[in-house]
Amino acid sequence: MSDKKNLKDFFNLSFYVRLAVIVVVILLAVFLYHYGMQHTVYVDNRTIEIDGESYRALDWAMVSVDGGEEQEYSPRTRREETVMRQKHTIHVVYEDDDFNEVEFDAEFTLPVNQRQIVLSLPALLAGLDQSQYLTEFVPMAQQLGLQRGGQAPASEAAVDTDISEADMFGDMTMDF
Amino acid sequence: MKKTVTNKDVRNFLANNIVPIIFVVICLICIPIAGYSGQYLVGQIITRIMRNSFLVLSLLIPIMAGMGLNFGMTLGAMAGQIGIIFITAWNVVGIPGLLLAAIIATPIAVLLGWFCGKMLNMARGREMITSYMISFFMNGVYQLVVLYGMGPVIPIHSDQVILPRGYGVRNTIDLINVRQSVDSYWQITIGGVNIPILTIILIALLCVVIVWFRKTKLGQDMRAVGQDLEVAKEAGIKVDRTRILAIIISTVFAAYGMILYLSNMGTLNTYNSHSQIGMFSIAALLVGGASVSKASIKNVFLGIILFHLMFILTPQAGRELMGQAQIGEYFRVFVSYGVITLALVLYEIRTRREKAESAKQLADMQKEGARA
Repeated sequence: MSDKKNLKDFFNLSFYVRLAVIVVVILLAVFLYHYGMQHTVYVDNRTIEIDGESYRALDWAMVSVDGGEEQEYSPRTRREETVMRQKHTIHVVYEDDDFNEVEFDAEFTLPVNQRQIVLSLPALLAGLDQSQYLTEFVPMAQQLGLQRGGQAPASEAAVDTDISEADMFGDMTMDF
Repeated sequence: MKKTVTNKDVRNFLANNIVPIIFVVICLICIPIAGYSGQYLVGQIITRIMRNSFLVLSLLIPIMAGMGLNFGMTLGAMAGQIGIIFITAWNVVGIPGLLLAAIIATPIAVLLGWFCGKMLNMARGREMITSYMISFFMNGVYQLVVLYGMGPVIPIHSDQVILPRGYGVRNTIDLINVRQSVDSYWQITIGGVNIPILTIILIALLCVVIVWFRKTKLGQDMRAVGQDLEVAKEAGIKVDRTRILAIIISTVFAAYGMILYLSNMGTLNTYNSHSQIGMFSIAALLVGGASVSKASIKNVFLGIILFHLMFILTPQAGRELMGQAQIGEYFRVFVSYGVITLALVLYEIRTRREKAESAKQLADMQKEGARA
């Protein structure tokens, strides 16, 4: 009997109100995490090869992300866009092979856990899947394993100090 | 009827306000020597009020509950820093980032506040020294977590936060993503001085909450506990619970205050910020004329203005007088410790004097009773 009463006392209105507040705060935290996360999108106009097929860089394009300022792209151009949230829009104006201006609009969703992402314009305009035109940007140093968790830098070759005075400056006659 | 001001009144006024008076005199001497323009000084003071008010206001509630100066506010500051570390690692920016940091910091601050409150209940009568020691102890735990736990145990992999060796947080973290995000969200300029409206609203809101809180049942309980523990206990107030709640509220406010402070500063000094902030907030409150047993919102703002005015003026005054700004730097650091010492000594003197006076009154009454 007393156990039942204790349980009833525990699960009273204030318990449910507190529980609801905690749930709301957790949901708010999840929302803020997704809403406030900043991503760097590198809009890249380079010829790219995907699954053995080559997609040529655009000769000229004007690109704006999320209705922002339009920026001009020529082949091999890569520009950085800093964005918040996950869902974004991109507006591309480019010249096709017949020199006609074509407008292209698309929506894309950035992966949550990737902070730096490369968006390939040729792949986007070719109508490929999002997983193919959006790839994670991995800095060159990290690719080479020079950063945290990677291999230690290779030890330098020992300097041969046992050089005769005549050899110290090399073969000077070669310079002339 | 005209009230005459007696020598005793003047002496009492001086005794009660000696610390602010000393600081007003120091500032008045330093202002012409430093040679700063009025606009610069006003701008700096406004910046520092916005940066520190929340932290200093967090000290009021434990004083109301008779627990003295809460040196344990550094625990709240640590919680705030942990929130900031997480959002920096996750790259959550701007005001959403600060809100998320506050949400992360809240349970940590509540837990630390509860622990601190429990300890202070065990060391009743020695709250200040105990909270000071708890802050040292918790600083060690914080450093252990931040230096060795973050990375391998707590999954944080951001190069911006974690040291190149793969674990431990960097000594300094650049908070460029949240820097001034509250201050610059809504800002107006008057006479060349930037006034951050949103920050002012937040601080005003906290002041209103504190005023309102004093009138609530819990606030009244805290005041009763602060005045006399035994009487409060006799009146049916849960003294221990009330004291723990006072420390928890203070710690949570300190965590929010630290988040605002760091967003204003734009840099997190991972291993030092929290300990410095505790000392300077308490010193600022005391400079404003507060004592160990009595403090008000008025003391908070007066204290921040005077204390930080001295912070701004003394390095330049030192450079003008001695040719070295370092003199002023030394001056402001030892003055902040000196102020705390002076306030504690004055409080003790005042308490003894009051006790002696009441004992004398009691003795007089007994004598009169015996005569009758």
